[in-house]
Amino acid sequence: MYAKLYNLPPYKPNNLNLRLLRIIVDKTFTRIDFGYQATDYYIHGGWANIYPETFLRIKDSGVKLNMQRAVNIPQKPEKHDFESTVDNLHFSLFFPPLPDRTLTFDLIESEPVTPTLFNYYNVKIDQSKAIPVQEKL
Amino acid sequence: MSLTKEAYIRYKIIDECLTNKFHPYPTVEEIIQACEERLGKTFTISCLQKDIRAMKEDEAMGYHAPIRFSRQHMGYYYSDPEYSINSIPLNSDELQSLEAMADVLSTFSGSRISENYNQAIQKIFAALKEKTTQQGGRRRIIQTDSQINHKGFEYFEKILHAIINKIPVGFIHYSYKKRRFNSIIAHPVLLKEFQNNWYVLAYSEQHRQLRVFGLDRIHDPLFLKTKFHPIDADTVNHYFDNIYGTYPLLGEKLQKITFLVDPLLSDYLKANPIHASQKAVFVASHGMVKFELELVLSQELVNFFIQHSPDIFILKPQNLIKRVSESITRAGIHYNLKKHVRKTI
Repeated sequence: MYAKLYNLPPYKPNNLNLRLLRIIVDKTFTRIDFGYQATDYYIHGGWANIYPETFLRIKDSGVKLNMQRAVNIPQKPEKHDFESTVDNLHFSLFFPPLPDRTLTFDLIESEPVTPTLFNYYNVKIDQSKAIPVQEKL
Repeated sequence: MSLTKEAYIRYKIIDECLTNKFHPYPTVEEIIQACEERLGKTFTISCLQKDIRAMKEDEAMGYHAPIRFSRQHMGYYYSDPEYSINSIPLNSDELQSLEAMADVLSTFSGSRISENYNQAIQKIFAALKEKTTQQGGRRRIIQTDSQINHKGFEYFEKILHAIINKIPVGFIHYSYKKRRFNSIIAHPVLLKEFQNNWYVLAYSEQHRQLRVFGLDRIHDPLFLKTKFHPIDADTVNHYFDNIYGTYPLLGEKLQKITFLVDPLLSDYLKANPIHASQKAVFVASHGMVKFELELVLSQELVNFFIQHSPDIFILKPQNLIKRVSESITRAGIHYNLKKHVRKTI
């Protein structure tokens, strides 16, 4: 089975500097790629990290998939400090594989939600729009 | 002397017979048989003898093959057991030319492109070194512009593979201008270099048109198993014909650009036209030249005029004049504020 790429339309994020870019579902993992643009709220762009307890919550079944690893972003309490307000970060979060079907999920870094958390609600992946990835990941 | 393709194939077959370690000292009949089997026609003994003589003595071909006949084994052999016509039989002029071109080729090695290309180039250098007497410490005679630690080359080979094999690619793209990441599904058709930067021309599913992406802005490309969107060769081949650089400015069309150039820079532009459409339409007695270009405005063209603004006066179009003058004004403001800037840093 090929891994499947879901190229999503822009989702309204909880954190306006974060952009969920694409989801890749393989038989052993789900990888979600993000792009983060440093904020001009802080003089040097501030910092970024991810909570280790981040999880996916599948809407219809309520199943939780805990984050397995984060690539190119430190996990709390570590921090990535930006150098300037125009700095950016491209990172990936890995979870267990999502079921191979059309579904909706939430990505939760922590709740209750605050403006700086990387929470995403009602992210839909449509099986009919999946694109097979032609290489081993 | 032009060497026919069939003669060249015969030389290769003879060479194979003479280098076959499992069947040394082939007879003339055995070599003829090998030629006949491979080429599907008959050959005479005299034809083969002429071939052997050419391989041994023909100066223009330059093989200088050390072919001998062994009376003891009644067959042919190379007196140098390491010899083969495949081992680059170059004459001294050819070697000199190749050495010079190796300097040009070297700019494509190292960080510029992929590991596979690097290895291929290193093999050519190794073969060349074996053939040249000036080993080690050779003074370079050609130096071209190349940049080290340049971002983007790590995906050069992958994108090239996608173009050759018509494979769509999904990648993350970061726009320096918009300061935004995007996930792009692209159908790449051409790799383009401009001023030491590499770009890929691709049909973008999101934009539903051909777009140019700088390789330094691409992250994590993945081959996708989906139908490739074909673009006809003519469109690809001529896409950059009317552009100086790679990024046409949005909404701009092909238009005439006229400008006056000071004598010093005009000599340079006459010697190095920036585009095939460049024409010197008027030369003043004091040496100032009026040039004309026919191009779609691009960011790189704007940058060119900004760079040479002390020596160039743009006559038209107005939007180019506006862009260049605004940039120069901004630069002036920056330098007027330099004391303040130094204090804050």
